[in-house]
Amino acid sequence: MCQITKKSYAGSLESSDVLVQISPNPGKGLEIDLKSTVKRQFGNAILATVNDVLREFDITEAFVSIDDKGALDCTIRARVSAAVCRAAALTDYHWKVG
Amino acid sequence: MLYGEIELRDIPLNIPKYYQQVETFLKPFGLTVDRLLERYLGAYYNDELVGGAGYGGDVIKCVAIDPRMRGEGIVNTLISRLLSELIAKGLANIFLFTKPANRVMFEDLAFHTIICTDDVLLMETDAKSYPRYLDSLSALRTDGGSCGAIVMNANPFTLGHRYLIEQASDACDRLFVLVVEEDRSLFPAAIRKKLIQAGTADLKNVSLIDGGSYVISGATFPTYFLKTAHVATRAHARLDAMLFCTGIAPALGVTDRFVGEEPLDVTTATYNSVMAETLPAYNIQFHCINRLEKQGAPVSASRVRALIKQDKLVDTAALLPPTTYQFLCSDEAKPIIAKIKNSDSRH
Repeated sequence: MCQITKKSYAGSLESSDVLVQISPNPGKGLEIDLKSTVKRQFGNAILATVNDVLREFDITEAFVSIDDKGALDCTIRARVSAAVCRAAALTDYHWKVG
Repeated sequence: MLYGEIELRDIPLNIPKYYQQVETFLKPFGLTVDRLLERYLGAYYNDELVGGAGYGGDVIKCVAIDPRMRGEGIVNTLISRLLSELIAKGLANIFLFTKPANRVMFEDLAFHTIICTDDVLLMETDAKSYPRYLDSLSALRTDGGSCGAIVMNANPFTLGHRYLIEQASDACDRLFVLVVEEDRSLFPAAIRKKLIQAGTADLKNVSLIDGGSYVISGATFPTYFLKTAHVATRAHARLDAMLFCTGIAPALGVTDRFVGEEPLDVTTATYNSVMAETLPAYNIQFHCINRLEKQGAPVSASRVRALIKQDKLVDTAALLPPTTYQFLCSDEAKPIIAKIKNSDSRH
């Protein structure tokens, strides 16, 4: 299991990007707060992607705040992965190619 | 779309010409530049300043956009840039000080409202930070009886502070002393706190609490840390008072708030008068305690610092509890004393 030890940020608030914030959430499991300009259309899809990345890293306890400005799926994946690596102080992440 | 032609530039506020340019730009928005603004980023269109935002410490402020340029995403770009700079500095939580009318816009830009008064709005990026601070205060609460609160900077802790705490401690079953944590004073926060602790160790119903970012900080009360009175002092004092009344006091179960009478310092006097106006509506008793006098003048930390500046450390003994005086005579105090001698700061 991967531990979130500190607050981290990844991404930006520019159009087509997403700002991801992850912080420890002691004793409160996973909590995701989603704000998106396209929440009505893609809110569930965004949450599915975020949950998917968190599962890959085996994160079971974290507060994740997402401020989405219409990012593509691959962007969301990249931003959440980067935020997790920073918040869990992971340095040996192998970025998949292709 | 104008977007391609918007250019972001750093505006060096240390150059008078640019300082004035920002001052002139902000004026129609009812905003002023102050010494605490350490960085300002401008958005230019055809070489004309049409938008800007800056920060001081962990607080983004002075955000303004020419009404003709709204809807172009300029604020997003400015805020994104400033956020990434502040994040790169390692800050976990970033504050935003703005006007209530901007609430919706910034709620869409990763900020969460801490408190909104008639004049000012304070927000932060970490949605959990303020609720968690209040939770940590609730854990200290004991129900029943009267509970007092004092906010103090104690720069450094004098017999005047001791007198105020004694009066409040006598009047209440329990007393919380919230120590201003912002490190803008000549005595660092950790030392100010240590000296209060040492000087009140015999008072059993007194507990010290870190003021954190929510009690007289660069975020809640930026003008407190300026040397002179400022047009916005009253609005900032009101914000701080509202945070106390709606968040901190209920979390701790505070029934009574004590302040020291302030005959000299305009900023603190304003703060006291705003407290006196605000507290009763929240069923908190306001008590203004007279100043302790020694040798015909009120005892104050600024008087102690003035004596140190004049090389009269020995004379401070009459104004200080032995614990503070011993500290001032120790090696640990040498760098602070050197700093006081070279400074003309109000703090």
